[in-house]
Amino acid sequence: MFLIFSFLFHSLLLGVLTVKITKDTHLLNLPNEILLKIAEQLSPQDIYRFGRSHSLIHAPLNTNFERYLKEIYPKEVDLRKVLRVEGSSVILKANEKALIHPLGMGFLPLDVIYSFEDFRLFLKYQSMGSMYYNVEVLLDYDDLGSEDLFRHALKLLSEDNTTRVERYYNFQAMLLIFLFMFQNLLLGVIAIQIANETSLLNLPNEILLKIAEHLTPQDAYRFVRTHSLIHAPLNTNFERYLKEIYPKEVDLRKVLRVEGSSVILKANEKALIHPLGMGFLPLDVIYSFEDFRLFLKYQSMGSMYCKVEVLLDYDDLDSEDLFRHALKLLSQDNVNLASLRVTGITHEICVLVSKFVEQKKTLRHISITKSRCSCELRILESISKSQSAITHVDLSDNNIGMLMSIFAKYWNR
Amino acid sequence: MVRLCSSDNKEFVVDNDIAERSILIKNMLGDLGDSEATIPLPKVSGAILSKIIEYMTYHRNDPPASDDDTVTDITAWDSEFIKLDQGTLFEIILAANYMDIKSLLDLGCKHVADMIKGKSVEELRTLFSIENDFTPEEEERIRKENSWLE
Repeated sequence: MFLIFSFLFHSLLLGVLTVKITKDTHLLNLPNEILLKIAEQLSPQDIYRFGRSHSLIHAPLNTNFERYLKEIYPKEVDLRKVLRVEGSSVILKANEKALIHPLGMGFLPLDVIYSFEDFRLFLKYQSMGSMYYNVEVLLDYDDLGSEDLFRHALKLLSEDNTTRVERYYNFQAMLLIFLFMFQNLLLGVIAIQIANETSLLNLPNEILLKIAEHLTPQDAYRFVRTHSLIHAPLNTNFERYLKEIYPKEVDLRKVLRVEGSSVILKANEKALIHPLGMGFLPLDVIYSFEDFRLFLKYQSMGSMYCKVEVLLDYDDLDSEDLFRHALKLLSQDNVNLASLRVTGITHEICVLVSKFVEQKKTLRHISITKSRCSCELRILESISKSQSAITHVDLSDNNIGMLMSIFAKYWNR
Repeated sequence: MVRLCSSDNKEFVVDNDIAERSILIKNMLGDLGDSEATIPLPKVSGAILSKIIEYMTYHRNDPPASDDDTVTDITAWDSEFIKLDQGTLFEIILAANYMDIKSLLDLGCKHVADMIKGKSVEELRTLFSIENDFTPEEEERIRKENSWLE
């Protein structure tokens, strides 16, 4: 009995003590965001020591940063080659990967400075409009190899959106900077006029995109080829998108084509997941569905923002009812059907298609090929009565000798 | 009347309805609630602001622009107005963007696009004084990646 009593007493006492201890909030119980807030007040060295004190402190402070470093410098064993600490700042060597993941930093407490040892890489970074971080830029006169380029570099670095610049120059460059400043002073108004003149390359990305909105794909293509500073903002998103959607496609001509001012992209499962990841604003994009069942899936997702081109292959659908259903679906107001391609239709279906063509207001392109009946005349009549502005008609491969003259007659009406 | 002050400290006095063609100024006037206050425009020089006021004065009676409006046909007056040297043209575009004057921004961008249309890469470089900075390898890569556009 004594033993039982003693046990109960100890348990009670221990219970009170346990409650007392757990009620005292310990540093280790603090949520991660509070630990990060504390770390914001520390120097990198202090953070390092703080992180080493316990795994529960180390983890939230270091996980993001470690993940980031592995992504950016996957092969670098000695991180001292790409990282250094100066005062309260961490200086990170910039590379191509760092430019793609500038916001993946995740190491909030530190004052991060991107160090550019390659000025051309800095130009690329700048063209991406990512001037959120402080930067350190090495200007090596020998490497740049041109006074004009050096002047351009200085001008660029003097812009307000370059938040912090630590410049390293060699002796020749110092001389040039001195001359540059001296000339500006001497030449006064003229020098200021030259320095201030805005060129196309100084326009921000959103303006370049606005200009490109008015261009055809071919003109936009020639425009982006003129300079990397124009190429980068206009192409980066589109390239990334294409690589995501068609990762294995080497010959993009198989999935992309241009018709007038439109780019027609072959739709696939991945494209349906990323319909808004397009990012290539200047182009009039049309999703081409060669598989009607995929279109049904697309439609069921309620993603009717893009223009679509749909191929209705009668042989493939293999049912008049399904064909009727398809036309009914495509005739709905929320289906922005730009292009209709129909193959292998019969006379009964031709009547339906004609009525559809007359009424569908968004239709611009129509292609009716390999028909099993002589339906062209009816189709052309419906085009002439159509409520939309059809600009492209393909009635090839239908074995009608007089087709061209009939076509010309209706086209000129 | 509203006083506008440019980056080089030049002052312009304009009617409210003219100044309010700029959404930036309209919002600032709304926030200040003081019709006598001077509106500073630190990113616009006097020369450019003068051109912009000329544009806003001509268009003072136009209906307010909406986001859906796009420039299709350029009027004869606008066409003459936008015939500027490249430096001024780009300054006007930047100022229109800053001052939020959509119709002028569209006009400028459309004009630059018209300058680009139908020209070869080399012609574009000459027109805009752009020095080719692509290496032959980079050029080849771009051609290859965009073969569907060639």
